[in-house]
Amino acid sequence: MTVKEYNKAVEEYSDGVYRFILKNLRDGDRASDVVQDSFEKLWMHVAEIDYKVARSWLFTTAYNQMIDMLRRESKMVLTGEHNDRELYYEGSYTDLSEVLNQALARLPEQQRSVIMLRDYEGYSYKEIGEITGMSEAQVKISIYRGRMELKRYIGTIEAVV
Amino acid sequence: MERYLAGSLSEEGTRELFRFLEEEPGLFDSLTGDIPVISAQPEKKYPFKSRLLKSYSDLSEEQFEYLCIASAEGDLTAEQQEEFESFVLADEKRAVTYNLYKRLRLPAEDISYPLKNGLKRVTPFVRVTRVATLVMAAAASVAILVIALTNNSTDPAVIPASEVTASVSGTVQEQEQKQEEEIPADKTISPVEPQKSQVEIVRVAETLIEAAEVEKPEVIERKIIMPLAGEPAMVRIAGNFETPGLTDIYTTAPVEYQGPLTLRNYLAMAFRERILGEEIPDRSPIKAYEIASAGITGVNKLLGWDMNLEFVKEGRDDPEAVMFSSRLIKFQAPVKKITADQ
Repeated sequence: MTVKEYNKAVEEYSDGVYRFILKNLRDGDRASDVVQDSFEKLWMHVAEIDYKVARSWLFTTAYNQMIDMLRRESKMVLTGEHNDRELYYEGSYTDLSEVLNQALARLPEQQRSVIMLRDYEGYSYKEIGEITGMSEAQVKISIYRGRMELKRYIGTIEAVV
Repeated sequence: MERYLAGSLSEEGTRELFRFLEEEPGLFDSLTGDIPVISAQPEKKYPFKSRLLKSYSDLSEEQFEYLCIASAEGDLTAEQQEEFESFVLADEKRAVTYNLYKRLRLPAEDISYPLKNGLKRVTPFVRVTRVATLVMAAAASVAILVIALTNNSTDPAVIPASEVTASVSGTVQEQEQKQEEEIPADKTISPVEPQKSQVEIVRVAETLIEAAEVEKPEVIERKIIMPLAGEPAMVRIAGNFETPGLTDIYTTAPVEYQGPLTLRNYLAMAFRERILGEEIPDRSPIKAYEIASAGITGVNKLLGWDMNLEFVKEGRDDPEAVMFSSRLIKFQAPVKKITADQ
């Protein structure tokens, strides 16, 4: 990758990586740290990494760094350990996107990550698997379960005014 | 024979077998007599097949939701998608669930990384360009300071270009006499050369008037080289050309003869004409603010910046102040002038 391509990667991918980490950590400063470290690592390997794979490389690095950070801080919520009662909301909403964000924040980290990679970045199951270290089948199952949880949280479409 | 009965004998083997049996009729009879008749297997049908048939209405809620997600994710084949949608649309309740799943995609969010510029790296070329830019900007700033703090007054011996107004109502000879009377008394005038210049101006003006009487424009002008001095001047006439007596002549030529061009004059005029783009360049020495203006124009062209240096003037005299504006800084500074007695 050339310096020009590296700067292009900064221009094109830093927002996506930042959004992905920010939505997971819900902390702008820490998300910013993760993005900076990821790009710092990319710069250190700039001669070895091809521009075509820079995007998934950045997401993989940022994801792993985020997981490490969560593990260190012992704040990671393991898959399946969420409280079912938290996933219900029986009020009425004014904005579906707002409700979706609330529901997304309540998902286990793994489901949240794969759904964000799928919806925000448009990655395939295979690509998400490469980023998160999961198999394609595991990714698919996580996405399906996550979607069901989102739907359970929202209830029915009538609830969204 | 056994293979024949089992049906595994080839066609050629079968032909050979029958040829052999024809040759041995006794053997054939003994065999056919003992061989049991193998009748075809009666076709048996599973009587409860209909119980196994399913339709979409037999799907459990979980299966239905799974299909809804698969449909929203684009995991179904075109045939499956068509079949599923036709079923869903026929059932109002399930159509609601299906539509909800379709809307469960996270909406795009406009989140930008605030420190993006800090991540970018520069190439050596960009680094050199930035340093050069800084140096040039510093030079421009110094030049502006020089303008603000140093003497910018003109040489009192040189009268700046001014507009001369004269009335054209007669011949060149009449004008020669008239101009002698009209030249202001407070200006030092060389006894011969200015008159030559004035005569030349009037001569050109007359030709312009002739042209104007045909074309009838509001303004007509022509660039001339002043006699003796060799510097350019612009003769411009304007007014009602149908009444020659009311036609005015304006000229940028100095009313006073300033002597022949020196190398310094020539360089000053060339700088103003080529660099500053002045149509009628002045021969007076180059001012610091003119150098600054040229520098800023060059930096703007080179780097695509938008710096601007404007001169606050009163009339055609030297500027009273300079006004600098850029993206970063904007200020106005008076131009310090030193009088002749200083």
